[in-house]
Amino acid sequence: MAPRVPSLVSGVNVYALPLSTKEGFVLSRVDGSASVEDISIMVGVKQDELLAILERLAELGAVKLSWSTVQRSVAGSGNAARPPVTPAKPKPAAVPEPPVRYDPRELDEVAAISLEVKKRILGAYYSLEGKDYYQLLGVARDVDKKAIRSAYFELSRFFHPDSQFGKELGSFKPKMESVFKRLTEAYDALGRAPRRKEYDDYLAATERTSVLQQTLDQVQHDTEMLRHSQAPAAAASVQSEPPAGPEPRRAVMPPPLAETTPVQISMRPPPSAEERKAYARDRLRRQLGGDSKPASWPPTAEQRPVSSFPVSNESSKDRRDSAIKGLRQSLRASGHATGGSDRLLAHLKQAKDAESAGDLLGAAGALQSALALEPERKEIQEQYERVSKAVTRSLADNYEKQARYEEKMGKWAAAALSWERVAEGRPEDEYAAHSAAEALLKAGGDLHKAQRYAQRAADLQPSRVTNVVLLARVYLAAGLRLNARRELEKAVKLDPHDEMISNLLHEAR
Amino acid sequence: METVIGIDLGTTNSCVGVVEGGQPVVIANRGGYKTTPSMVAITEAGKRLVGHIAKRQAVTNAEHTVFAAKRLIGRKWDSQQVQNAASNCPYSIVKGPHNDVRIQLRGKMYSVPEVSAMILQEMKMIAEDYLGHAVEKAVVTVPAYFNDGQRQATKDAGRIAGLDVIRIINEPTAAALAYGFGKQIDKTVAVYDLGGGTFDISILEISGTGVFKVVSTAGDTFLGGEDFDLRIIQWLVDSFKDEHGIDLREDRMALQRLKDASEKAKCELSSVEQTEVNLPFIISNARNEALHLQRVLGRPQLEELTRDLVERTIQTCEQTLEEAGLDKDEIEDVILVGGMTRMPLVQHAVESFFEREPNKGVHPDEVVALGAAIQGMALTQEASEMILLDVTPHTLGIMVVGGYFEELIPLNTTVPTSRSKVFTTVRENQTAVKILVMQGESHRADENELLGEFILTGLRRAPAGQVEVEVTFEINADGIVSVHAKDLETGQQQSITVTATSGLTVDEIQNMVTEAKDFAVARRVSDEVEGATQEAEKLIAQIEQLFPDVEQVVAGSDFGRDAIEKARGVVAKARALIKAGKIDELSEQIDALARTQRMFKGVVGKVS
Repeated sequence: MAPRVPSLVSGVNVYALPLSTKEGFVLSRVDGSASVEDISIMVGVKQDELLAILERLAELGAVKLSWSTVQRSVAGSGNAARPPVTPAKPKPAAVPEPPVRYDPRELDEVAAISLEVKKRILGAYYSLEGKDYYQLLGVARDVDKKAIRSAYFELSRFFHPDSQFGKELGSFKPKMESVFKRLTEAYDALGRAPRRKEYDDYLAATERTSVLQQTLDQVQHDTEMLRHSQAPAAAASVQSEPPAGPEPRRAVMPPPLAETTPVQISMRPPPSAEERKAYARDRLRRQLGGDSKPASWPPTAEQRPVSSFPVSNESSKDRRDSAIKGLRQSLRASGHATGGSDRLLAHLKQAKDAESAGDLLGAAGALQSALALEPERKEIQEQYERVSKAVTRSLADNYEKQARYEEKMGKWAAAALSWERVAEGRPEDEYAAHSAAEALLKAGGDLHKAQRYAQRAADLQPSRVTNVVLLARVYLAAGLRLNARRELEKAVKLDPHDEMISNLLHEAR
Repeated sequence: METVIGIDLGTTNSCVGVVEGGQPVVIANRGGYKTTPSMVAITEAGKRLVGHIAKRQAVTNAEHTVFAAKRLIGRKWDSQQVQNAASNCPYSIVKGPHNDVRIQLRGKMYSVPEVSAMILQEMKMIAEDYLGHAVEKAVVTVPAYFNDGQRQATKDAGRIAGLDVIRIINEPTAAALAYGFGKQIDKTVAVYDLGGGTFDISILEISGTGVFKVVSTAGDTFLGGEDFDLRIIQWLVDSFKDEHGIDLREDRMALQRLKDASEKAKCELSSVEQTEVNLPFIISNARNEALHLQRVLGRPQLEELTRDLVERTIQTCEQTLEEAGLDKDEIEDVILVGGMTRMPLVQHAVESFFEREPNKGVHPDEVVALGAAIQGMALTQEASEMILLDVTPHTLGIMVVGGYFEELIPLNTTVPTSRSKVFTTVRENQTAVKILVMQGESHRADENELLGEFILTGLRRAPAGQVEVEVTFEINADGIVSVHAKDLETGQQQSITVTATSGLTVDEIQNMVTEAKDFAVARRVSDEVEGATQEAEKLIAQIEQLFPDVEQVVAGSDFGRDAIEKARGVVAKARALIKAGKIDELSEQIDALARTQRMFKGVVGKVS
């Protein structure tokens, strides 16, 4: 008998199929050359069971079985009426079971649902964090609209609390709601072509900026180290042996940050200014990118945002790593060059080449290396300033795109952070300063910063009434009513008919 | 599985449905009609009338007959809409103790939920008659654009009627459920619902696997069939005034007759090109001569009178599509719901706007009740066949400094959902903040609906702006809004669940529940009396028929004569009880009658 070899049906969106993990695993091993016997060994499933799974897959239209007549005309829409062969509930995508992230004791909570359902709820709930929208829906980034829709619909069928209506669900109900809410957020962003494009652009932009930003940080860090290692080397040029193992300067290490630990409320003294700042920072970080509150469990875990507004992810990390590697190599290469002036010239040439090739970051890196050798040279300093400003500027453009998207999605804390970066990149940009202040205000962020940006916007365009009002609003929020009044009186002069200004002025008095 | 009925509580007509053996059906009332007028009347004798009978006597009892109570439900007394209604309605609308609306009938004050409860109770009864057992749970529909107060008031009405309203769903959504149920449809559809009192438009995505997702919904709670009627009335009144110099509006009975005739003419013009309004002896003039109203109304004229109303609905459609981020050509089907969609002008307008012929597969008057029944079944079913992902139709937020409205949950957000924002104190040493929970689309707080308020106290004394309060809004799958405020420094929390804003207090509702129950009992008893009487009469007739035969057989024996005497006694007693309407004793007497009948039959049978 010829070996029975199942093959894949092309053009099927496997993500939309209601598969169990086991079925998904089997599907992933079907390649048109592996026989049933091979697959049985590969996935560790007995042949009988494997054949049953394959037949179901054939029924769903995902595979072709040369020896069987089971076929299905339309693939991919997922027929829920047919019971799966394996006892598992239909699952939207063949993703491997995530590692268990919850406390197994949570499964003991009394609720009128099966253990399987409990597991799935907890598993989904505790893996919400850090997933982008595609990951949340369990689809690839290039799938079509229909696949996104059916993935969302299938997941909703399970996670919408109505699927367990009227049952005692205990803490599982809010967990289902949290999961459902995030799925909906993902679908709202990906379900319509224009919004999806915006999100894709945003994802790409964040990845780009995060590569740039981290590379920039790394260049500065490396240069610092280089400067440090070379300074003694230059001083000890009479000695033949350079000191081994340069110590990085302390200052480049991350400063010790006072961690905010949970303190008993009743025993807590009024917080110091430092504590308040740390707290504000912490909160801002917590809110970064999302308004979703982390759930009460686990109480000891770091309170990070549940958000699909990632700071970085795998692919950007790869790119970053390779960029850093390249930079390091170039730095090392220049370090090995003989003679200070040769090295200096090499750095400067490198900088020039890089800049003319449009690689601003490379240019900045090279110039920094040059500066490390000749810290007093004015023209190098100026050149470096110029190039690093250009870098910040190009970063600012990216950040602005990000900020506008975040603003649109109502992610004010994330927008505040992005606008701040834009404003830093373009100190003369009144709009950026205004937006930064406004976003900070809306996010409930650092009011000192908000005041600074609002003031900057007002200084840049003192005749624009919105700038003056914004500054006043910041003052009001900070409780500085005298200052607020002063600004509002200015605003009234600019626009005596605005009702909002008079309302606010009333408030300030 | 417990039966859950679906009730479409309409402005002009109501309808009840249930899912039987997997098939949704609409239940006809005793008169055989599938819809029941949403009208309630109190007769001079103090008798309560609901439905067709209330409608039939409306002309002669206009001041004590309530119609279109749905337009008033959950509204505040001082709202423009209530004021309009108060000046237009023949029945008397007065201010309630909580700035709510009360209706005065025969000297007694009724809250609007109480009036709606009478209709719900009638629908419940219709379902119970059909099913043959008591029903306790229901899904009730409301216009998509109803705000939280109106929804709560509708729920209260259910409670007063003795129904556990397990879910309130939107009418257009219900229509879509009925349209897509069991059909494995995978489409994006628009539901255009123009009913008696409200207009709604909803866009839904339906998956072949039984998921219904509302994408966007909008509407106008003061635009419906009644507005079309009013245009005809206005036209009739104006022309009558031109001819006779008499304003028919000043005569309540004339107005009621005009209203009926206008509605009839409007309905007729959906199928014919021309109709006649004929109201003889509508009023008398100063010389006490009777005047008649006779006018011919053509379809083009009606369309001229109401074109702007239809135009308004199309504008709303446009706005909804825009909010959904959809193009017209992405809508794959258009469903028409509500009696008004029979009007050709409406159908043409919808067709030319969506550039496709509307679906004709659903019954515009029954589809909503069917959808409600389907949702009721889906919720209580063990393995749910379908799931509805609904949205919040209004923006939710709080009032902030300067009287502004700060949005927390925007409209058309899929529920369940939650959103948080951080706010700060405004004054120095401010130790409490008042959270005013509001609903609406205006950026000015005072133009929005206040849902509830609470105070978070015990804040640290500090310069203004230093104390931060995080406000979280949550809407759960049942549509219940809850709001938490948390002092971020101390972790202290306060929260409210927004409920009972229908203008009724918990106590009041309780009283009404009891009262309505009494009424239900009274009605049940009369039903039972009727049943027992019929049974007793049937038995008596049978016994009497047997008397001659039995007498012939047993006349010879003393025992026989005794038995016949006894039987006569039983029949006589039963007759007396029927006459007196003594239900409890009659029920016992029925047993005796049945025994006698059996015995007689036995005697006669033995002989022949």
